[in-house]
Amino acid sequence: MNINPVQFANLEIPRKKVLLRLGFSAASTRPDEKTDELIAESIETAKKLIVPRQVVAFSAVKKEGGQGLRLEPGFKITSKDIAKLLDNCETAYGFAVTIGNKIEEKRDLHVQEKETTRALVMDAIGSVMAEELAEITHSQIRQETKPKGLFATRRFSPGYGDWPLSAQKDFLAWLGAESIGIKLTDNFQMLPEKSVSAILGLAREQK
Amino acid sequence: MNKTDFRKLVSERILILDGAMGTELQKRGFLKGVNAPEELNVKFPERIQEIQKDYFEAGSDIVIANTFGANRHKLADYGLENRVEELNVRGIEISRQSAKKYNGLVAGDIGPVGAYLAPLGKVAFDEAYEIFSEQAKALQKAGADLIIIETMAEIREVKAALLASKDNFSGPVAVQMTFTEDGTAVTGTDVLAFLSVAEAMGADAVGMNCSVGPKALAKLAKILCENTSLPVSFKPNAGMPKLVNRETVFPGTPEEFAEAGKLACSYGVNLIGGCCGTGPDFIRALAKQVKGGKPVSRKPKEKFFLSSRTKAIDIASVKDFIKIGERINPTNRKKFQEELLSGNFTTLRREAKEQVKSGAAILDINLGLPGADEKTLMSKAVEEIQEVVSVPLCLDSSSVETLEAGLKACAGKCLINSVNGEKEKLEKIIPLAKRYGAGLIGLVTDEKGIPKTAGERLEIAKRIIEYAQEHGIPSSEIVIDYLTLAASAMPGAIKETLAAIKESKQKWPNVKTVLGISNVSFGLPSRQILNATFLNIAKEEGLDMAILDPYAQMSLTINPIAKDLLLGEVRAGSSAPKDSLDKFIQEYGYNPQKPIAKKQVELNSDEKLYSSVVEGNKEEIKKDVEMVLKNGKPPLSIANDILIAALNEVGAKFNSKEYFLPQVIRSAEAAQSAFEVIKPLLKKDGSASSPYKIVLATVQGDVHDIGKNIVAAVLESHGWEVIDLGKNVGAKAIVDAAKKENAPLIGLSALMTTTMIEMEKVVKERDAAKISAKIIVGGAPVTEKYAKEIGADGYGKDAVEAAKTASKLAKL
Repeated sequence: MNINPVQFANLEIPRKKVLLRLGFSAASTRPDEKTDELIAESIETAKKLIVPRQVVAFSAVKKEGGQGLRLEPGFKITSKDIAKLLDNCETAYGFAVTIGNKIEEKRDLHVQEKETTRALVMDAIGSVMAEELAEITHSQIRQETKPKGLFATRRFSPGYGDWPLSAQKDFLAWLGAESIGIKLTDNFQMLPEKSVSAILGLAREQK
Repeated sequence: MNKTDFRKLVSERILILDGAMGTELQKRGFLKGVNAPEELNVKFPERIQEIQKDYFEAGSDIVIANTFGANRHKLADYGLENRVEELNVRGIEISRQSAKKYNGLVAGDIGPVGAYLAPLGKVAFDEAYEIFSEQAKALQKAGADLIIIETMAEIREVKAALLASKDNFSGPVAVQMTFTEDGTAVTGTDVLAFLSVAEAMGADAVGMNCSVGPKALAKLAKILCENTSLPVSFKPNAGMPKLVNRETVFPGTPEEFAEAGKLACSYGVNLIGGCCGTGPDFIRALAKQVKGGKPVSRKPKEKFFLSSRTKAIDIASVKDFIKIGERINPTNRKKFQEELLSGNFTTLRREAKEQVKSGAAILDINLGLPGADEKTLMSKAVEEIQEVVSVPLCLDSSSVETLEAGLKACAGKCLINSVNGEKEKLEKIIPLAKRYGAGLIGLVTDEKGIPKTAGERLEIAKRIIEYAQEHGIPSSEIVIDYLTLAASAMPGAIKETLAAIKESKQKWPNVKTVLGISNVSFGLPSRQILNATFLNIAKEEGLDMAILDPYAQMSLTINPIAKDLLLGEVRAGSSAPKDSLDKFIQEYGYNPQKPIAKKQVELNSDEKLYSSVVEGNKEEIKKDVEMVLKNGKPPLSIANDILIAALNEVGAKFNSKEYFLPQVIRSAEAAQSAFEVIKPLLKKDGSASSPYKIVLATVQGDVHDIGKNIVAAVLESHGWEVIDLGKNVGAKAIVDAAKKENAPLIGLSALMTTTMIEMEKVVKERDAAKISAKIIVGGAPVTEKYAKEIGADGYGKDAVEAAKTASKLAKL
């Protein structure tokens, strides 16, 4: 496994994705100068607040008859959706990424100051960047395994389909996500909020 | 150890620091039985000592005590905030025992507080200073040989830690930041910007640790070594860790670590060790390469750094003439003054950006205006400006308190404008510059006022330079302002200024000179011609920088008529200076202004208020409301016919996607400000018994509340009184609040499928309490169908719809 840890030096904040996240529609939205400036300033500030971290785990897949699967060293996933996704996969990869909690702290400060627009924009930037890290990690795995003739599936996260959100607890433990500071609330929400965890499979053939 | 001994020691031989403590504790399973690693100092000191022994055996000369996180803020995570002194003192004591056999030294370790300083985070500068002071006092008490401040990621935190350490610890203090691969800290500060601050504040050694691995970090150490004569410390980690299959894997090997160490020493590093992932093997390999060697001596050129948060400029080597922008000054600018007094920084931010675009390399900040709390204003202005531009600042005030507030807020090394030859000023301002690490502008006036001759001005300059030198500020960090007097009022005075500059540059070549340019043309027409001519003559005499209006197009030529006027020279057939003044006025006195851009269609006051809501003009809207009130419109009509109507238009624009969410919220914020003005009036004239009230909460178990906050802002903008209970609120607390407040409406938000079920509990709780409050729900996983199923009275798919639904429900 040769995944390079995410370094902020190479990370950009994609302005377009932030705009889309905020409901921007290229066809009809007419943004004004002040709003544009506010977003640009928020992006500059956010650059100083993102501390990207990444954790990865992988394992051979033991299938459980379409009901789910087992991963080493003893992590069981009960989900037909995942069994289907990893149907022809011998290996599963999981990862968790986070941008740290500085962005949400700044957002909360904005809320306290009644700077709601800035809070909204900061939150959107955080969400976009957590997704970016997930995407980067996904493509790192893709690139790493492609030369070996393996194809990465799409990714899947707890809380989607029939994989319950409560599975997050064992999943994060399997990943060792604590070491990058990800904790779980009693209701299975990740802290820092701007964190993403996901699983994917590696198949011999592209579906 | 005193500072002189330290300096001597590190110049004689390369000192080997230890390797990692944290990752070594983890690797050896030594964190069992404690929560905070610092607890080991008390509970299991033998574990720390075992690692330290291994480091000394491997070749370390200095071990760094296990006190990295032993500050009040971090220890509070473990409920240990009241044991700061004990954990630090014990940390040093047990290390001292380890060091005894090897005759080794013990450093106290100070790490970050664990949250960024405002405005990036929530810790105030003074608070951080107190936190670090407490730790530094304990390290002093325990008798640490030196302090190493390390892994700093934010420059104002570096300032607070350095200040606290120097105030409370008598030994040498080294300070290290952590950098990413592109040579900047995560908060944007680059190596030289860091150096400029650490050096000016009197750090005894500067360095870097952790982050990007030995090879990449050595490149950055080279930059430090080339630019400072201070001892340099170097403590790389074993590469960027990979976290794979529940293990932290550092990619580096002892050999490549030692190789990079050797390279770093060839640049002149004095103290060298390892950070995360480097164990005794690494130190052994390193010691084999460099231990006992004599540090390469470094002779960097004399520098005069000024810096912003992100980068430094070396004033001593800048080739271009340096423009200091003077536009952040509200004198004679009524609108700017009003804005600042009401806490509106729109113009300030715009002036900062525009001046930098127009070529200002430094921005002067002068906020002296009647009725203002200058100190608070300075601190806020510095924060605001730093958010939008990255040039060094020049803090311009006659108040020492204001300057200090600005220095605390400044995320870089700035100039102080100014000190002068008065004894009291010298005594107060020069120590301030030294303490916070700032360059100085010295104005050549004193108790006796403005000296007439160049000779007298140089006398005062000498006094300022010598006083500064005695207090540890080198002459190369001083800029002398030889005074610009108005040519109309003091004919002939300009000659003295120019003579003073010329002589100053001959006498003290490394002392910089500055002039405020614009004053020369005070009271005269066509000021730009005079200003440009004055600037160009002064440059010829050796002027290094000028405080000026960077928007003004400055001609690069000397206008002969203007020159006559400035220098009061006599030409054939005329007598100076009266004649040259006449001649200038004759030539340039007719100075038509550019026609003002075609007048915009005048809006009446109602329309103006309406458009302020639609355009989200939060900064101006209060004035617009006052105007409408003055014209006699009743408050209720303002609310309904203007504010709500405007918000309806905003809502329509949102529905047609002409507006996206930030625009809607900006309008909401504007309307909210407007309601703040008219709400008390609405109550007074009884036109509305009370505004609608809503109890708002994010349900139990849910910690995401940005959605709820957006809804709160939109509701408030419609005049609602929002009782915001926050996040993670239980059903009973919500219903109790609705009862107590007699609120007709409850709004609930949930962001997860696991927490939205709580909404049903609130409905049941309400029914059980038999109150009439209606319940409206929303949030990412919530659908209209779900809302109906659980018996909620309304549903909002977004904030705009929530406000509509709320109004409908309240009117039922």
